[in-house]
Amino acid sequence: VARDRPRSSALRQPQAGLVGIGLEPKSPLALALVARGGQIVDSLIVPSTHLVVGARASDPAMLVAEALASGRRVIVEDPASFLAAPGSVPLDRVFAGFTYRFEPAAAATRASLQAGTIGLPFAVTAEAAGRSCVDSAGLALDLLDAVLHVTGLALESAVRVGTDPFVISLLLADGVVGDVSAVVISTAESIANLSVRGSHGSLLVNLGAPHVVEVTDRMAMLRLGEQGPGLLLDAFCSDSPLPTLADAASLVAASRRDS
Amino acid sequence: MTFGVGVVGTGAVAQLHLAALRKTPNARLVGVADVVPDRARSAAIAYSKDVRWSGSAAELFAWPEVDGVIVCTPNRTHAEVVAQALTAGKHVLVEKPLALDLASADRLVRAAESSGLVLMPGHTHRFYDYGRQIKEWLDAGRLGNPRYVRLSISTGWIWGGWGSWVIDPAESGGHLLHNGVHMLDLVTWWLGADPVQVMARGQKLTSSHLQIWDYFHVVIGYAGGAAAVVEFSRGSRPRGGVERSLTVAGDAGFLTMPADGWGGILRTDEGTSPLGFDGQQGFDREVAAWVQAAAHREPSPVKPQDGRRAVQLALAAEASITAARPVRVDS
Repeated sequence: VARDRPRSSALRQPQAGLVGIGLEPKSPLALALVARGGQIVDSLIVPSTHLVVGARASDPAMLVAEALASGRRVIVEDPASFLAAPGSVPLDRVFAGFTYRFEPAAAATRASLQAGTIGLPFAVTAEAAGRSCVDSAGLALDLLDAVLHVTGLALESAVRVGTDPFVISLLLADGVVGDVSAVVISTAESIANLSVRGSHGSLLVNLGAPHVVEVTDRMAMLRLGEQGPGLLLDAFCSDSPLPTLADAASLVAASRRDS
Repeated sequence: MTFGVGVVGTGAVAQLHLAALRKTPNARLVGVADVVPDRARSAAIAYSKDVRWSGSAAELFAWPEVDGVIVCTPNRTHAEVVAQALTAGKHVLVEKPLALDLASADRLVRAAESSGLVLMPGHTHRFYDYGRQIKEWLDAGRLGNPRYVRLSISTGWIWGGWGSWVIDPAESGGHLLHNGVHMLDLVTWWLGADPVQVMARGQKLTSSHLQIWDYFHVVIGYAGGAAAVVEFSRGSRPRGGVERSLTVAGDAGFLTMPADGWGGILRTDEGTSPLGFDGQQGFDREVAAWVQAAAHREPSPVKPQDGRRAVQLALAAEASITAARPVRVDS
């Protein structure tokens, strides 16, 4: 529930036509979908306007093609696996289910960077560890999308050093360096951390728990609210601009480069 | 029997070793040497009236009461001073790095092997509580098979000031060799695997006129697929701040140590639990471990080969930064 009344009210409104297929029932995305009045279904027979194709969906390419043909908006929970599997769909018409960029902590970090709180960034690192619906590559791709979104910097070079853990050494525009690293483990909990270091301080961001620590001459902690998967679905259902599978494909291509 | 110790070089880090030596059972400081004789004299007097001093390391090596020496000279001199000490029949604890180049490191490894003396590279972080306890947890299988480590240390401002030998690459080898070897050794020791490739990137944060990287970011790939990320900064703001954060993951769980604390958090299938660290006695434990090994002719707690490997990783990282591509590491 958001702090302001209109926002709380909006969150309670059922999202008519929102369904998910192949979602792990207790995943954050599934919980957010159900909280918005959406249904988790087994087939496209159920009337819907907005379809979430979960990481567990069988034959996701065919599912996406059918949904697009029937005029539905489609989002794919695991873009990395979807793109790795055979199948042909128009990538620019399917949305990538990146959730980290929607975390309030990511938005707060982006705003803090734009406000110049820590000066000019020189390094950005992101890691995720623990339980996940997607594999290490998928998790790393989600982190990479968040890093680029938060910093607003273009990716100049990516060198992959491992696949599980999935580690990518990064060079971004303006000489900013860093990495994204992801390791999926069957644990009860998971973490996702982002740090941005700049000429006048650092931002230490816990993407999983809603807060950001600003480490400058005046240290501060910013506390935040609603979680990313829900905000992703809100953007999806309100027809807001989202990254597409075409965007994801370019990141996949970059992160495949290794030695 | 009391183990007689000589200390060569009496600068800042020597003071930490001397303080540790005071607390080491069955060891006594015989004498100190420094190329600046007045500094050697001051260090000797400050320690005890019974401590000898000299302006020559060679003279100290000739004192028969000295069983082993702690080498605290600038990095450029390590290989030569250590070789002289071994030739003189002294056990050696040498501040990191073992040497500034692989050929010198190889010579020292061979010299230690042929002499039967204990040569211990000073990778102090292995002896801090967080270093030891994480190794114990990993060896005990609390995280399963170790797969991933991230170790980040960020501090600043320019270390030692603009006149410091540390920022002269000819004297120190740069921060990858001067400080980076601590972290490169630690993560490799924790993972217990052979490194196979290094991808690194560097920054000159404080000034583009620096001849060394005061920020580096290193990714290491290991045989078997494990990976480590090491991030280090000596050019961060605020000046007095120190952030150290850590993530270690195995196939059965992971632990984190946040930037603002010495404690850790362990997460496994069995749940989440806090992990505490006792204190920070790295130098005390390091010196005690060396004295114990040398006095009893036991294997060195940190092998010369480990010091050589840390040098190898640091040099590979330097090469990777320069070439902007991954560098293979031969085991």
